Amino acid sequence: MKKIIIAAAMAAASLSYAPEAAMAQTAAHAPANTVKVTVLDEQGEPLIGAAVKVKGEKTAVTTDLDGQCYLPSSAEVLEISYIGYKPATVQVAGQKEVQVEMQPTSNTLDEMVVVGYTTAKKESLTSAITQIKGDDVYKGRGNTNTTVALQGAVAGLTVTRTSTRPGNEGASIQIRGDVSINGSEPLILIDGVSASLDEFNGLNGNDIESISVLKDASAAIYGARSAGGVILVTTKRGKEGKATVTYSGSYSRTIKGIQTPITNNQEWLQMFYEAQYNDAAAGNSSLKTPEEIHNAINWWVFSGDVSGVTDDGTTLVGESMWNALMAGEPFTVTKGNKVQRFVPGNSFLDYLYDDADSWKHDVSVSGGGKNFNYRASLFYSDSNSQLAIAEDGEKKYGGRINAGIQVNDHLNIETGVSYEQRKITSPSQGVGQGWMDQWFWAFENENGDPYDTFNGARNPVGLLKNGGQDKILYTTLRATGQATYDLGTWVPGLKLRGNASYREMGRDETLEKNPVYWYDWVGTLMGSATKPGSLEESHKTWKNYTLGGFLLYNRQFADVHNVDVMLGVTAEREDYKAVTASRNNGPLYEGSGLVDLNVWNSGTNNGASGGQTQWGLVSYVGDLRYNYAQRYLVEFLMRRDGSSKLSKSQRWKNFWSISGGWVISNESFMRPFSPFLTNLKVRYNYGKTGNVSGINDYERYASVASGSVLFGNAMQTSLWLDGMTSDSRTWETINTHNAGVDFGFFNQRLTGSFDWFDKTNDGMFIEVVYPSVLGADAPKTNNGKLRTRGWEVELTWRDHIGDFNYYVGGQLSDAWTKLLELTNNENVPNPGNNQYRIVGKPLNAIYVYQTDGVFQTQEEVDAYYEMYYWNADHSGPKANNILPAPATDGTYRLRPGARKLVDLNGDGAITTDDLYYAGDKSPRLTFGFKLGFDWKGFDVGAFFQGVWKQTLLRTGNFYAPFVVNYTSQNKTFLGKTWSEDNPTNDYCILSRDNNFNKFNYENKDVSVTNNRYIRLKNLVVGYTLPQAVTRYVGVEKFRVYFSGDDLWEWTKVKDGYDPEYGEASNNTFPFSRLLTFGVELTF
Amino acid sequence: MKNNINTLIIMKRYINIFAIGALAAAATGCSDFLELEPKSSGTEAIFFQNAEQFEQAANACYDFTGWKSSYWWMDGGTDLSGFTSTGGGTTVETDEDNWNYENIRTCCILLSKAEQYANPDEISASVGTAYFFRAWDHFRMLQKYGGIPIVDHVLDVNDEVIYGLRNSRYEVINFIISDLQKAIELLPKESAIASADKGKVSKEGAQGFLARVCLYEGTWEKYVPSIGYDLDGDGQSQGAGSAKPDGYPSVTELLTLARDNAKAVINEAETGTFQLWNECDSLSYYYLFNLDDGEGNLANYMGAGKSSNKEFILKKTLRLHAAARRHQHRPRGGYLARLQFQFDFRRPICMPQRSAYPRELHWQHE
Repeated sequence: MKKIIIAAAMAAASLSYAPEAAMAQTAAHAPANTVKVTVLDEQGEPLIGAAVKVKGEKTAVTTDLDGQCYLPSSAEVLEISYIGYKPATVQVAGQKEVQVEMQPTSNTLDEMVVVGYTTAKKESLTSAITQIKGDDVYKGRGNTNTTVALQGAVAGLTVTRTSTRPGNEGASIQIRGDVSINGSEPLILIDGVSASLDEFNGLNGNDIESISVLKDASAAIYGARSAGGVILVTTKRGKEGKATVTYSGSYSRTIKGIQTPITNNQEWLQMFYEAQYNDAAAGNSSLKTPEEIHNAINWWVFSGDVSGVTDDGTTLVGESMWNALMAGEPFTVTKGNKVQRFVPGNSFLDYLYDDADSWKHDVSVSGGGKNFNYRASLFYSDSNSQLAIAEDGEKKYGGRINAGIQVNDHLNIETGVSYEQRKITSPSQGVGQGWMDQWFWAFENENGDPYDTFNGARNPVGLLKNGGQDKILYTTLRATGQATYDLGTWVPGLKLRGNASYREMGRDETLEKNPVYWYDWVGTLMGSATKPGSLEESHKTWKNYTLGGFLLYNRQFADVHNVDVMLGVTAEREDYKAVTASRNNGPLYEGSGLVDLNVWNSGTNNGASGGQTQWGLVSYVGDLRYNYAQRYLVEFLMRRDGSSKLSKSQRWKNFWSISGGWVISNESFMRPFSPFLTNLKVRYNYGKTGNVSGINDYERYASVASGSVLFGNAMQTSLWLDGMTSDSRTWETINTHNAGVDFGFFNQRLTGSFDWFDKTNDGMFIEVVYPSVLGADAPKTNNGKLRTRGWEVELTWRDHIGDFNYYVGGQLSDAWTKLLELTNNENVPNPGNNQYRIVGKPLNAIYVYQTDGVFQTQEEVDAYYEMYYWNADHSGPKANNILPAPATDGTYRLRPGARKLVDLNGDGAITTDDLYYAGDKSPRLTFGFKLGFDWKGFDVGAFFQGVWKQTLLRTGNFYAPFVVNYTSQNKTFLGKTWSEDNPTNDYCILSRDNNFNKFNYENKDVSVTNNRYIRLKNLVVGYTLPQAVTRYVGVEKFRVYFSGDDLWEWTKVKDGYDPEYGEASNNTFPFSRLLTFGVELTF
Repeated sequence: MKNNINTLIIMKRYINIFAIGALAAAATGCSDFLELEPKSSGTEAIFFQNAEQFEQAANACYDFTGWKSSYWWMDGGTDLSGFTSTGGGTTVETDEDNWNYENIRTCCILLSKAEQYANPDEISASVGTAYFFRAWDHFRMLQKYGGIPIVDHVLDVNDEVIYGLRNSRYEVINFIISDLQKAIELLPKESAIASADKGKVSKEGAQGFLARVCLYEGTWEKYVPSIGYDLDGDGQSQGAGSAKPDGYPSVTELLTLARDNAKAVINEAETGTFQLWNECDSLSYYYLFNLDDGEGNLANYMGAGKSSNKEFILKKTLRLHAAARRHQHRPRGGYLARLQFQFDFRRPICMPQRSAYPRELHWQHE
């Protein structure tokens, strides 16, 4: 490894600098009048190929295999630089020999971290701020979604998504748990301009230099929008050096991950048979033998619609139809004028979803000279989801130029312009369907048209192929400029900075819903949907103007007092305008594929609507930092926000935070521990952040609503004032405490931190219910209280054995909420998810009934009824009873195989008072774990991410068998359900009685799962060709890599769904894995 | 050290200048920058500025749900209403759907804005409509619940009326009568209402309604006490009480008022404004309830449509085939009438109402 670097350094030196000087001064003997410079790395090993030059000169000398070189002794100050290490300077005061030890740039406490409006050294931070490098997260990833790539990367930052469809992942970010019932999204700023999550998803990951996450009250510098944390994204800028061109491209293949556990036809038929058999037995207690029961089976649709006469005259109905389907061969039957084609081997999961391809390309040029730097980049990506029969994907492309100019000794200008487009195309109808009917038939008829002889208008193949497309286009133009005037010659350390930026984001959507027709096997029309069809086009723009002026002062006094001050004023304004038009009378030329309002029929129900809002924000910001000899650190920051949204009396509000830290490792008494304990800092931060969620754009105005009334023969307009306004509404304020410890051992090879935090939302917006005599809904007022607590741990080990560099690291975090106060609240739990309702519990509290297994015998059932159902005089059920009534015959009653509920409160009856708290729906104990190494050109990295604890109560139609009719079933129940031969205590008897099944499974503790999972989020194996080889073709670096996203998972979810699916289940879209092959070239 | 202090002083001066400058710049532009008004919806600031807007506001007061022929009342809209606890009893009423003050609020807002309007004559019809519907809504609830809280001004969340006791039925009737009498003075005559506005409340409509109210209360006070039920209670622990305001009319006075108002309507009818429908001679009453306006159901042999019917003193028109739009501005309780029925005031209360339904009832949940 070192030899390659030597060769590289030598080559670089020889290319950039005077060849003669290089040749002359790598001689082994010491010429006269020279000073010998020895350069060592942080281990004390000689650093070969470091560039040493005299300050102010252009030519440099490289160190030899012993890390030594010679320079003229007339030199006073020498500068040494080496890739991956901090540049060092050394004074040559007439010495003959000089030794310099270099420190690596990564992991040093001198790393500059982006904080609110300024940067700070990592060692001086007193708050919970984590910065990650963009390349660590985005390089080598096949996934193009910028948000999803952040999963597990930063402690306390949780990213959840609901699908793997590019463009429709439904990804959302949350920092340190919930903060309000009105939501609490983090504020995202891209190069200082506020951005929505959609804009963040439009970025090219390779353009991101770093992402800095402000987790605690340090976010208060952003005032009213900071309650959910702040994410600062900085894009890459050029550096001084020769121009380098980088190209990276990758090809990805999407393959199936965990598929939804939908039954195939055979499995469904088996479950159906068993359920109907059980129901026949339960329905008539006089049936004794299996044969009698079998003959009493109700064959449901197989006796009706799903029956007919085959080509050779056999009638298939009821049991014979069931047998034919079970046999598995395709066949045709005719019934009346309907020809049905059965293909029992068909499965939607196989037909609708298949492997897909995606591409990514990225080119960038960057470089700079002494007074300028630039970076320009272009990117394009095309990713597709697994939907095989229709287009469903996302195309992104854009370009960016960042330039910086040092105009003269005082003035420095930095600018950046970027343009990004993101086009998401998906079918407008039918996505995720395929579960509403168990599909025994063909998908298309013999003419290739969508087939549906059962419901006539449900086969999703028709909806996906012919139903129309939804095209959404996000266009973002961003321009930023910053000028810094250095007043250092008059007042040392003082700078004046001004910045201005403009951002325009447009969202254009074309939503086309075409009429869809379904036919039988020979082409008879069976049904239709979405007639006559509609086309809606909407155009929305958000224009944001930001201006800021700052005064920066940075000075060190007497070598020990370090002062850093920032004072500023910012003004921000955003204008939103929307225009939507629609025609709802069907296409003019049906089937032509033309999508424009002009070729759709105009009618009396055309739609046209507008919409405009604006908001403005003026703020005063200040940030004062002081530290004494890097040992005692204090920081105070504040922001005074004035918003146009609130009424005048509530308009201005202050947000601030104060924090302090003590760097114990810099104390003199800690010196002896130095190589062992290189960094130990304790810090504490307290402040107030604000939350804008829940505030409308025009809070103080009651708006006029309109309707129409018929008088005479025409409609006349009616207008009235809608709702009430309140003059006392203001932003929710969150008081945050954060205590943390940062540590580093073994010369910063082992680093980590621990944080504990407590956030209290004192004035949460809640609805207060007034008596209806008021005549209107009162606005939400600041009357609620919520507290969030949690902790985070981060640990990383970086080291090398010879030229084998490796790292291992991870983060673990947890956050839990507790609703403290909700005025006028009922506080009685409902079964299932209680969102924002129960005081003393988390925001999303799951309440279920406790169960005690399954009834095994009829005697047990009778005894149970005696105890819990019948009232004193046996005339009826006890008050508020929820058990089904007893009977000798019937399916909806407690019987062997039914669930046994526990009387938790001991009152002798099973009522809603027997609910108990089962857990928090929000993810708890989230973690990320990474390890990797690089050696001899190979680099390998693996990243795991997961959630250790999350209470999940499955909703939808698949949490239990047969809770609704007609749908597919969840195959995890097959073979496990109760029967006399299988007297399990976990799964109830199969039945087709919806109410009975709901009683057995809905909101019962057996349906609660711990959504625990660990996922191999990313695995990269790359190889960089030796530079000696690539130099022949003029290529600086050539790297190829294979990587996989979401390759493997382990989960505790037992009903077959992917753990990131969430609680929903009415969806057939599988989760996908991504296999990528990529190439990186640097010229 | 001295240098440092000097520098600090200079620094302070610069900071002061800069800060003042920045603040000044911000402050001047500040007030305009932060005073933003809605651009795509009207606000209170631009509403209630002219007579037309008052008229549109009055249109929003039309809340005819709860008339006796509507779906919820069923038997409660007949003369059985005084017999059970409904109609004001001491038994706790469990029907919440009809306890609704939203339209009353709309009327009160209009009336409060009208007080500040410069030309009261321009808006007299609108103001009269507001009084009419305020009385209408109070009467609707009175029939169901008896004494109810009276709302005669725009309520705020701190108003004691919303937490206060019910007013007695006598106070409520007094309030209704006074509102209707104000409405009668302000509303235009039926003959003065243009055909494009037919369906709007007229003076005769208000008189007819006042006659109904007085008839209802007069007969209630005359006969209900005789069945021995204590429907008033003591006003504190149960019932709405029996407080009577000063000058409250006696039973005779109530019935006289009813008679006088009905007489006024009849007098007006004799001038030709209202007329019994006689297109089909002796079979007129038979065909009266199937009239239609050319929607394909002209069921009588004369081909006479609804437009030939001048019996309506107060009506609400809806159109079956109109574009699906709201007719009630407030989907109260979540139900929205999407169909039409016409009813007339001239028929006695106990007339079977089902024949008045030309089409099938079709409710849409909002």
